[in-house]
Amino acid sequence: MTGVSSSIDQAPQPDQAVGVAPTVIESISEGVCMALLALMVVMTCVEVLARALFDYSMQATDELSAYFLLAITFLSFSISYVHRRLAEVEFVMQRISPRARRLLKLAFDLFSIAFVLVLVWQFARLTQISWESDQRAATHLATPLWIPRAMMLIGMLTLLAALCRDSWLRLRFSATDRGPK
Amino acid sequence: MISPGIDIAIVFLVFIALLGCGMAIPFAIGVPAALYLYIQGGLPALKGVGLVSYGAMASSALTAVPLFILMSEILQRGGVSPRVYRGLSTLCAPLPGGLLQTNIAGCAMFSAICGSSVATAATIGNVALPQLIARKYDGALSAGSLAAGGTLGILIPPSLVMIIYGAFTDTSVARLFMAGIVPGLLLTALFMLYIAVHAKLVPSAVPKEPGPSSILEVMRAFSDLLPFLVLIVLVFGSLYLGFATPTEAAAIGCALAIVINAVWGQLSKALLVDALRETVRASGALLFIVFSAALFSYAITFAGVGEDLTRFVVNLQLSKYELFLVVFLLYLVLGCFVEGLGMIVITVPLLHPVMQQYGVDPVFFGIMLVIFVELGLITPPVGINLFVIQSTWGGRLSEVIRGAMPFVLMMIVLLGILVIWPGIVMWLPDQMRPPA
Repeated sequence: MTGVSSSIDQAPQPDQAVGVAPTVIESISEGVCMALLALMVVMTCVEVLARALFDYSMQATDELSAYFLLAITFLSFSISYVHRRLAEVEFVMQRISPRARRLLKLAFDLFSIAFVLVLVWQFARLTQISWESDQRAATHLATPLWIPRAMMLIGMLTLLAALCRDSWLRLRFSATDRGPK
Repeated sequence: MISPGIDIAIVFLVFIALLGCGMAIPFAIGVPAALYLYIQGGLPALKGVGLVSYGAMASSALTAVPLFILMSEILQRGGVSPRVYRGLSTLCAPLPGGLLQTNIAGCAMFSAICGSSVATAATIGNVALPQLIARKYDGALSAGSLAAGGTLGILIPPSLVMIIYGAFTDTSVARLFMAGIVPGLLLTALFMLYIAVHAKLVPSAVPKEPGPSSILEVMRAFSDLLPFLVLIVLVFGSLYLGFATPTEAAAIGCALAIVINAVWGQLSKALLVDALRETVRASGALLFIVFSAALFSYAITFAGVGEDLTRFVVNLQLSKYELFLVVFLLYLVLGCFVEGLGMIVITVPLLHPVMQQYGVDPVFFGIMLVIFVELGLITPPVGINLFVIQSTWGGRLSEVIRGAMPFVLMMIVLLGILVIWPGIVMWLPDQMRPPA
């Protein structure tokens, strides 16, 4: 692939497919996201039909959809990562030696892990505060806010696990010139 | 103490460097954002990250993103592109340019069910290129028309870029969608006009296509297109009439896509599961960029850079036209380094206040921004549509670029038209009924 590899629309290229494989964590996350997505479609369609036919609104569809989106978003980060779907520009990577490429990737892994650690720390703090102070949404459902916020934390933890696995593999095989590119 | 201007310049350089060296885009945005926050406000600044992330991503506006992706996935898996192409090729064959006109019309129609330019170029390209090669159409023109036609994917609604812009600037996504329709159709007409003129001037580039031989053939073409026309009318009609929000319109679209597949006998559990799985993966990649950009936006708001930049630009006393020229040049340069969505999410938090100060309607600016991104998609070195078409075609990249350049000029013509007559963009959204 020349130039940009876009995770948004394209299947991963063969040379990108090498790396950390999806584990049971990503499989479960993916199943949950798919179920939430399907539920979101059904719920929204029912809301539209109920409003059109019976002039009735469930009042909670928007709120629940936003929570579902939050869960889908954060849980799918690690899924997109392990399936090599995150977009990256490859000009430099294609023009350097495999060893330099691996070192650069390792440096990126470390930056990324540091970044995700900060997020894990902050999301854990937010979830804990929401739990301890019993914060609730100002809606009909009065949803305890620690629930959607815990989804953010879980999503970041799964991403952290995937990043650590990937870096470990890269580090482990760097001496033997094998492993994730 | 480094001045805020230099600060943000350094952060941008770090971002470009990380991106250019191959770091995944969400991390290339997020890492400098976190670093910038820390530099500006130390640990207390980082403590806002949790709430900002929650506020940015638990957004009703963004819920439309995975649903529109799902609608497109269900339709694609049911064989939408060959049907659309087959139907349009019968109807467009008599036009000067033959199948090349079908490329543009096909991309425009596919854009109305798919919010991504790359997916539009790739899908229509896969169907069209074998036929264009077999019938000996000019290679560069064929590839260029497909790369350019693909860009309609983000201008003609539903557009994922518009949803994300809307979420970032608190602009109505429904109005943005409506605003994209007329410029999208105008750009389609400009592309088709160029092909017709080229076909007249260089007849050897385009073989003569026989038109439909009977009324039955025309009817069959319409029957291929009819389900999509119904879907498009229902989805966007519900938005236009204020009957549904973008999220609801997308969910209706998903339901209709399932019905269309059922009618064609294509519906299966495997198809739905595959579509859901692909949607989750694609949404994750897209929303990760949006999430990182929300952090970046928080960082520059925290530092007050947006206000500084607005003050600086206002002090330059540029006219509105000069401002647009500067923004155009900025995106032209940025487009050489950064891919489309990254470009939008990084620059919008900075430029949106400037545009507000100049009294530019956010809907109008959103459409201009989408066209800037489109230009980046078919201009080297990061023009991803060029690479997608080249890899499908198997020809030389320089040929694809050569073929796409006239279409770039058409886009610049469109930009000029819109700047002179902004009413073209604003007319349809101003006719909309308010949401129920």
